[in-house]
This record gives sequence, structure tokens and C-alpha cells, in this order.
Amino acid sequence: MRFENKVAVITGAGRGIGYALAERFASEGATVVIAEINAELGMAAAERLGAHFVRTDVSDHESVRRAVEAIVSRRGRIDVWINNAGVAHKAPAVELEVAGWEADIGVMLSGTFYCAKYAGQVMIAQGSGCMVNVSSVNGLFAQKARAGYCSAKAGINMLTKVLASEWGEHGIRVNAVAPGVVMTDLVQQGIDQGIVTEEQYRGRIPMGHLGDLDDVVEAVLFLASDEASFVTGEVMRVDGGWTAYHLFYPFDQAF
Amino acid sequence: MGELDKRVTIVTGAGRGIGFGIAKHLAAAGAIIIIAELNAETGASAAEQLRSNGYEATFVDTDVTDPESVQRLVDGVVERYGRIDILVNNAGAAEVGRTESMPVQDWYDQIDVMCNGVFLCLRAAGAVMIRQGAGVILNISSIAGLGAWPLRSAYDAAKAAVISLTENVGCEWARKGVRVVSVAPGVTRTNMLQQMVDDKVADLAQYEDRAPMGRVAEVEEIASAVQFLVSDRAKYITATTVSVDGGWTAWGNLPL
Repeated sequence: MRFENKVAVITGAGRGIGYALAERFASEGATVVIAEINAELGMAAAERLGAHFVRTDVSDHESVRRAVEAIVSRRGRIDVWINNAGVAHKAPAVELEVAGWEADIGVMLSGTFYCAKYAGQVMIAQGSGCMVNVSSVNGLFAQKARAGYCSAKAGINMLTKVLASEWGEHGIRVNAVAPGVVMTDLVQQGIDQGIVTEEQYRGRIPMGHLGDLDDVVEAVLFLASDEASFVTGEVMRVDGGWTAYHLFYPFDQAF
Repeated sequence: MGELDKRVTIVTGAGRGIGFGIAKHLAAAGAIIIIAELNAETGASAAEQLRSNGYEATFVDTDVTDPESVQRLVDGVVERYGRIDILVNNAGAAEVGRTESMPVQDWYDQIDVMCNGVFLCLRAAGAVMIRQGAGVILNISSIAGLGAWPLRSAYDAAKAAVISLTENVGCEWARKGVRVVSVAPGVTRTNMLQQMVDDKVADLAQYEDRAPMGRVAEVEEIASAVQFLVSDRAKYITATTVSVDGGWTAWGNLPL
């Protein structure tokens, strides 16, 4: 039980990776808070896990401030904060609606900053805490038709390093995970809509298969635990070799 | 037993320092340890110390720069245990000196241990792992492989090579069930560091101030990251390097 008596807040935990994280933190002893914009999803998830739900729109700094206040007034502290909430608008840059760009940046980059600003105040006052940001390989290199998503994730990677630099002296660690393609609702949606096939993904990934939710969950839990007590400012890739590989497509015919 | 129960694990340069710390940590997680070490005295006593703690450990006299010695190590482990599950390439050596005047032999020696040695061990153990269809190789790089530490050109170049080798071979073997990963430790509290501080070659406060966390790593902190990466928990992580450096490489180091 690595997180016994710890308060762990996970944004966007109504489904997907966030929900899987909430489940694991709960099973490892944490008091879990689900910070989610979708009240229906958030309440259902909280109910299933015996967790707490705080309706939070991470792209709205007032909403984040209120959520942090509510969490501290009810749970007394914040030990772990996971910035996971995400959206993705897919269109070539020249066609991408400005609102889509703003939403990608607003939820993922500004949202991570707002959460860091307010949760960070609590952690600094405590003299302890740990933050893990769910980034993406798309923050490390470009995908076509995802200007907002990629830019936001790249921003999260740098924000991770800035926060780690600022908060090291307070004993607060900040890291990110950069998953490759993991079969989540969002990825399934893309496949269902015919934007990409699973075979196309597999052809690009050295390991030849998509990641499991659990692979991301294990990496986040490691970074949030004392096992990673000297790891900070790190963007850890969980990508089956994706970002290391720079030769031809598809992988299995390249050498 | 722990998550590495009965996994046959070779750790090179495990007679002392970070290597010994890793060996001990993985042993505590259930691994069977083979201490591959050039120094027979520290190697034998490290294995003895692990055994006296109730762990299974043996010492194999190994020169990682010698292909025959490495092959004997690998053959011997396979003969005794039937397999190799984990290889930790840790053996290292460091010299400090101005590049324009350093003895050429210093360059060769460091490249030999930390670049060629990693390659030789990875190649020989990797062949076994490919036959098994499973295995993990973890290379110890350094934050000095990610940026310049002047007066250490050979060390830095070798450690950068380790990062590249990790990515390259990690991709090459990704569909063969063999993961290749690397850890880049920051400055770590070892006897060697203490010796340098005592000899006034190194100033501990300077190292501490350089890392946002304001301290150096404990050996145990490097070892716990290594354990995660060689465990099944990291089964989708390959061909990459994880810094364990208290924020050293993240921070731009302006004293503000």
C-alpha cells in the first residue's frame, strides 16, 4: 500500500487513463478525489471507487481554485496531484477552428498551470507533495493535424521542468509521463471514425503493439511513489520505443 | 517473494558503489544476483555480503572490456541457471583532465569500459535473451551523458554513447521480447564521492546546490528506479533513458 493515508487528486478521472489511475490509487490505499468536468461521469466513478468527486473545469482558474479549496477544507491536505484531463481537436492547422486550438491549450496547458498554481500553494505550505502530469509522445514530436494537442503537451513537458526546478527546495517532485498509443476511449474513437487504423499504429511502434492502460498507470504510480524519490523534472516515455525510432515506416520492414 | 523472484540478474561493476546498491536492492526483490566485477576482492566480498543477508549471489571475475571474459561470464551463467533475465551494465571508470593534454590511453580506457564494455555485455547477454524471447537490459548512463561536464570528455562521450546504444538496440530487439533501457543518475553519495570530497577534488555543496532538490542522490534512490525499470511494471518502456537526478538536467541553472 504505497499511498496509505495519502490524498490523491486526479483530474479528468471520469474515464480512460484518469479513471484507471483513480482505481489504482484507491486500491493502494489513497483517499482519491476525482476532479472532473462531467458531473455524471465523475459522480459515477466516485461512487464505484468509494472516492470523492469535485466538479472541476480545469480550463477555468476560478473553478480550479474552488476545487482546491474544497479538497483542502474536506481532506486537510493534497499529497498527490495528477494532471490528466485532456481533449484533442483534429484538423490541419489551416482548418483548425480557433476554438479547438483554444480548448486544447486551455484544458491541457493552462489547466495544468492552474492546477499547479493552486495545488502547489498547498503543497509548499505542507512542505511535501508530488505532481505527475500525463503528457504524450505528441509533446515530444509532431503529428499532423494536431497543432493544439501537440503544442499543449509540449508545453506540459516544459511546465513540468519549470515546476520541478521551482519546487525542488520544498521537497515537491514534479514529473510527466509520455505515453505512446494506449487503447483508450479517445483512441478507439479515432479508429472507429476511420482517422487511423490499429495496424497503422502497430506499424509505427517498435514493440509492435499498443500499450495497456496499466503500463501508464504503473509509470504514474512509480513517479508518485517514494520509489522515485530523486526523480523530478523528468518526462518518462512509456511508448514501446516509439520516440526512439527514427527510420522508415513500417517498422517491421525497415531492417 | 518480491517482484523479481528468481530472476537471474547480472550486475557489472557490482563490487561497490551504485552497482552494489543495485545488486542488493534487486536481491531484496527476489533476484538471483551475479556480481560481475574486475576487482576480485570487492567482487567476492560483495557476493559474500549478499549471501550473508540470505540472498542468492555469486561473484564472477569479469573484465567487461575483454570479449572472451564477457562470453565466459554469459556462458557460465547460462550453464548454471539456464537463463539470463536481467543484465545491468554498470561498470564504469572516470578520469578528469584537460582534453588537449590528457593521455590518449585515458580516452581509450574509459571508452573501453563504458562504451565497448556495455556493447560487449549487451551483445552476449542479448543473444541469450533473444533465444529466450525475453529479457531486460538496463544500462547505467549518467547526467553527464546528457550535457557537458568539461574536463570529462571521454566519460561524457561514453555515457552519451550508452544513451544512443540503448535507443538503437532497444528498437532493434523490441519485437524479440528484449527491453533495453537506461538510467542517468545524478551525483550519488558513494564511497567514491566521499573520497573525492575528502581529497578536496570535489565540493559537495556545489553538487548539492546544482540540483533543484538541493542534495545528491542516495544509492538506494538509483536502485529503486532501476528496480521499477527492470520489473514487469515497465513492460512497455524500452529504448529510453530515465534521469534520476533531482532535477539537475531539467533546470537551466541560472542562479535566480
